[in-house]
Amino acid sequence: MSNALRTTRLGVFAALAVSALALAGCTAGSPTGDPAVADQVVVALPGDIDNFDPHTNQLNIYQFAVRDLVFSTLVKYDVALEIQPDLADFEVNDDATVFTFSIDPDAVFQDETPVNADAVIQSLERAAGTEGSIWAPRLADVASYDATDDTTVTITLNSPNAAFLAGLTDIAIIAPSNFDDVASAPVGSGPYSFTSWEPNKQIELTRFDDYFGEAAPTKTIIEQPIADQQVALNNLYSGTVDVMTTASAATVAQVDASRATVVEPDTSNSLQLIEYNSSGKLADPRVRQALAYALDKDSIQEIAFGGGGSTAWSPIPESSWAYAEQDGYPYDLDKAKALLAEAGVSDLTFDLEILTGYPEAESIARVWQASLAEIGVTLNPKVEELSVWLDKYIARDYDATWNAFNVGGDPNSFFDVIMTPHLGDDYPNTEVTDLVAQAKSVSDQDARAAIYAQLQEIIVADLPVMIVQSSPVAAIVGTKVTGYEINPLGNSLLAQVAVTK
Amino acid sequence: MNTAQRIGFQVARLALVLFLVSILVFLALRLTPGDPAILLLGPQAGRDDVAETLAALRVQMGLDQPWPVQYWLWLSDLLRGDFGESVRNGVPVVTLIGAAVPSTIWLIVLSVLVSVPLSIVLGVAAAARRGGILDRAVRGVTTVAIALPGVWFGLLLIILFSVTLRVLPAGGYVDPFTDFGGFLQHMILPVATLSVFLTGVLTRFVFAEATDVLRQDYMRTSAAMGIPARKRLFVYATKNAVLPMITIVGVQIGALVGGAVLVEAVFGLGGLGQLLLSSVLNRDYQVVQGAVLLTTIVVLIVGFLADIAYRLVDPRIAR
Repeated sequence: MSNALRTTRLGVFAALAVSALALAGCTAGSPTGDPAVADQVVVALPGDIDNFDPHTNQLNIYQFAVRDLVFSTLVKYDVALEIQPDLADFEVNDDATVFTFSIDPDAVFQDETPVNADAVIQSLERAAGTEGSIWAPRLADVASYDATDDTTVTITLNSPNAAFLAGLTDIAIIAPSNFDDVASAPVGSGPYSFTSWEPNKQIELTRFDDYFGEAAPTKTIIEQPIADQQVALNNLYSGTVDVMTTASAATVAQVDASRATVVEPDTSNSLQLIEYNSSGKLADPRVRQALAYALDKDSIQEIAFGGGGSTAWSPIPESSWAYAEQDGYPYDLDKAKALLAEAGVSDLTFDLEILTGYPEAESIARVWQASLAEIGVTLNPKVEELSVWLDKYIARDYDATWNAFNVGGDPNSFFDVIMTPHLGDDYPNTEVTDLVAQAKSVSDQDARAAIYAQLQEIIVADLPVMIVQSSPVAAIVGTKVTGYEINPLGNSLLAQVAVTK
Repeated sequence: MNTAQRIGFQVARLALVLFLVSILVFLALRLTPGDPAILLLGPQAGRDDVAETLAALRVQMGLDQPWPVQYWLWLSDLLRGDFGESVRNGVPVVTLIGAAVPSTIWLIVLSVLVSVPLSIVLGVAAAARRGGILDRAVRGVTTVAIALPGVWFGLLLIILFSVTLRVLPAGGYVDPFTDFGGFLQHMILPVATLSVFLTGVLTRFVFAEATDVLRQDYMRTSAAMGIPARKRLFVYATKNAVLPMITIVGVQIGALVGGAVLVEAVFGLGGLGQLLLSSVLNRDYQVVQGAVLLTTIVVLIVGFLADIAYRLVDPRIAR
């Protein structure tokens, strides 16, 4: 054996022996805080995060891994997607035009400056500005921000908006001194401060001891991007990782319950859908309905989603107060053929854009393609990387595209995020536009639910978009992990996570 | 040509290659579909009420300028030593690359340190017994080693040693100065994966050279002079066969860097390869351009140094 190899082997054994001895001395107990809890929790993320500005980054992974730990918002969702106060208690007037927020007087930023009305308004104005904020549309209708006193902010809208508070849950309050550097080193008022980011290696967060809310039990959170779920699960078993925030149905099926625990929310708000270009090849609603009759949802549920999730047709999740069940299109190739004939369409061929990295999307395409072939329709699935898919999506340069969307706690989010671009372009439908605006302007939840019921009926009848199903959401944690929750959006709630010793 | 002229010529050639590479990478990025501003903002970037934000972001990223202007701005900054900043988070490109480079360098250096001695031993031993079992085995195994897809082999190693046997970590990088044992543990599988290809190439090369050397007249002369077979093989044959290896490794550095990119992705080492990959996917123009240029510089310099080393080591080459 060559000398180089022999030395390496010896070196490894020697080093392993030394490390083992060193580790044995390490578990003597933590210097501060609860001695029954480890100093550090290691979280495996499905990917890396490279932009830490909460006003430009809308990715779910950024939201739960960094934003919700480093920043506070005026209001936030709890694990059941109900709105709760975060930085401030709130009052809303009867017609939802004036929102008054009483900021917690103990709230302080991680750079020791106080979270007062001025600081909050500065962040809101930054988020409302059009120089670099993705949330500007949510604040577009604000008439004024007033600091009625040092800890009170009053926001007045031009017109009533019952979904305004839900919109605020995504708008983080940034320390005013941090505006220029927030994308690389964010400073907020949340339970953890941002310590460091090593690209593609890890993000480190450290407990903020002056946090105004419930104290976090763990001193340090380390987040590591591990794209392969098998590798992440193996690390979980061996103890180098404590929490795996995202697990597919396939991974969940093979978890050994004695070595790890699967955590699932009660319901899933994570929808997978097909969006159509309703002014292109598929402009005739009868054609879209025919395509819906050819969607074998039961097979797709088995094959793509491991039998999990819900195959309901409505774009509003079943757990929502606004959910109205729709009959939809039970799988029926004969009806599909009849509708195509009625529309005078034969030999239809269309492209389906799919984003790479979503095996369920490819499974959906394959099952649908097979059914469509039986009625003489050719579906061409095109799997593309993010930048290409995004370009086409934004320019509406597609016949049909797969998409995934997490519907927020307020049903308006679906219509705002998914439908608004279509309504202004390929699917101009004044009835829908008016109903969406009406549902926002009414405060009474029952009245809103009635309007959303109408909307769901129209969407499912017209099919400008077609809901495939909600996908099951799950995380996997080590057996000694406590305080971990996951909400129906698939967002991990990490602020109270700890590993018992 | 005297030494000064030779060095001057090399430097001029380096500059020309860098200039061409800079144009190539600049154009390649801009001709590929995908817009960094849209990628940063995500699917909401298409909304009418976000149009102003998108436009402002594009101005901030310098994308509103015509290409020649963008290139000129980048080049003039470069010549002053400023590689720019990531368009996604404002972190200086040099900082990002500096943080990513150590694990890549360790990976390549360790792979070379493992492959070179191994290939010398295998190549010389196989050449010594032409026609024997070792000869055929080495030739067969090296063919497989060269053809083996590194990514697949790396995953196989993970499945075997990390998932099934659970003796080695499945990925990640540990700084050697913080935890040397952990560093070695984490590097075993990635180095093994990258070394397979390099060992295959080098072994075949050494084997060919050693065979050639062993056939030379001076080998027969030294045998006739009574010099023992072992000394003839391990000293004379090996030295002469190994000399050109300096050049070969210098040339293979380019391929090694490419191989390292794949191995890093498989093992999550967070090195230059992964940085390049994520930056390309995110169309982070400044980072990709900076990383490609820096890599080119390093590869060219290594080749240049290999050339010098060769001239120093080989007594037959006139100074």
